[in-house]
Amino acid sequence: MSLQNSSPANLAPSSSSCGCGQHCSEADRDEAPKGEEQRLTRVVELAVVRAIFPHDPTRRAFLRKVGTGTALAAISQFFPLNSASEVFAQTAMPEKKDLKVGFIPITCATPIIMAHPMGFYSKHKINVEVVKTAGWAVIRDKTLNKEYDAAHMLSPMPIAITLGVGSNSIPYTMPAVENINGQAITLSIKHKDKIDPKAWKGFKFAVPFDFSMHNYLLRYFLAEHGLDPDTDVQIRAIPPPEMVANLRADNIDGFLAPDPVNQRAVYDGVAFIHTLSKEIWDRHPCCAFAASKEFVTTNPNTYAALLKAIIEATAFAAKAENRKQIAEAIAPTNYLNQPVTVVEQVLTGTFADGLGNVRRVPDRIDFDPFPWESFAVWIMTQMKRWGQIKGELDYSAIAKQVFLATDTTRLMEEAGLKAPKATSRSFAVMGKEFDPAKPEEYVASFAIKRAS
Amino acid sequence: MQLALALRAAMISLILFVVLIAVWHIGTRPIGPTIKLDPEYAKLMGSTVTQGKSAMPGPGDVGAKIWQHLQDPFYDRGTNERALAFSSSIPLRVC
Repeated sequence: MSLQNSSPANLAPSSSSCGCGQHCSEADRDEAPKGEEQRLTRVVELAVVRAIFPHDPTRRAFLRKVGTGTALAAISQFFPLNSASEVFAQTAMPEKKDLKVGFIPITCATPIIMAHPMGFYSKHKINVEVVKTAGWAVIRDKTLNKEYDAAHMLSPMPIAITLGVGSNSIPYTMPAVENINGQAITLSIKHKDKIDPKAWKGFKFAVPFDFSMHNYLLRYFLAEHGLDPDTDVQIRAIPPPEMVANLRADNIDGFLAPDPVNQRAVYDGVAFIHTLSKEIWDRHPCCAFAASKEFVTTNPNTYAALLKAIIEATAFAAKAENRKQIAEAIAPTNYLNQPVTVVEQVLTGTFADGLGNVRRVPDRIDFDPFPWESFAVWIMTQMKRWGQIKGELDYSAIAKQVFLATDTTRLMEEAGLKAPKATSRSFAVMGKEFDPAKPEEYVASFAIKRAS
Repeated sequence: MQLALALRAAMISLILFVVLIAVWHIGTRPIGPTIKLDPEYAKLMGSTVTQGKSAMPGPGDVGAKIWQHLQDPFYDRGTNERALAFSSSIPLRVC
């Protein structure tokens, strides 16, 4: 696109007449940089021209009169544009090429995992090793002691680590949500007559981790049905890979687990799916891609490449027609280690529910990377509600600090996803409206909660 | 009569082994389909439900898997999928 019109604000003009929708006209598309090197050269040229003519109308008039080619030729007499582009290209290279990213073998990590076999990481010139990890506490500890550069984490985990709940207080950031929806409340098949949650008094439930959406969603669900999650039932933390075995061995009566644990339990004939998490809160966040603030600031190019790869993978996974292909790519032993049909049932949304029915819910799991600050505020209200944090809390400041939307917006647009303008919005959980501007009132409005 | 004693001890070990494998095999035999399933549903379910295959593998399956691992002890199909030689050597590594 021509130098006159290019600025970050109008990189994707709404009235584009080019086929791909990103340029002002076909002529601009032909002129547009192809490939990373050309793009970087164009960025340097743009920066130099703007530095010489900071006043927009003057610059545009000049360029219109002289033509951009002539202008650049004249400028390069005084300023070494080529060397500048080379130096800039060098500084944009990733500082650290070999990275280790930990993951738990669940479909929540689909973008992080699929980026490995499907080439998203190698496309951005980083060599990422995705390391399967035994459980959430292990992934947290290995990321904190820097064995992993970044990791797949549960959305509340970066908040908990930043606040120093359950570990040392280290500033963490969460620039991208990995998946939305994608869990379910699954009960042992011997309880198939106990559909009404009021019959669940005395049950033992499992969730993957204390600081997880699963824990908060299960507690919310139970509380809405009149059960106190700490006195009427037992909730314990069990790593997802061990959940089906524990259910089979009768250590637990049910769980609110990430897929494919639910589907695998149904596949093995030991459980049935009671409620999909999207029926509790549609489009809730689940897992996240998290990195320490230190990693983000000391390795900005590596971080940018990694985040871009993951967001592109998320955009690819968001399309329904790609799901089958993704299921085949991530089912092998090196990644999820599940039968392909189990992963396919989760990703395509056509699944067996354990009670003899085949259900079709296409957004049983979906992928949308935007880290809404309102999600962070909701998570903190629930942490407060159940006594995981006590005392005063600056909800919006922590939300802004941990759920980093700045880079994500730009990268989402580059990957072809629509990024929202606001960073906060209200939503409803089980029919009850949540206003992120009033967190304390929300916490106080619940009948069942722990005393603060 | 040391030899006879050693021989008898060996015989008892062998008999115990055979009995154990036999009990294991009988305990994990497939029982056949228990309930009639709609074919579309059956396609989405595992063999434990559709064919009554035992959830715990029998001695034949375990033996086959051990043999498969012994035949190829050095494969490396990625960080999370490496052969016996890699995982068994971890306790032996000095550095």
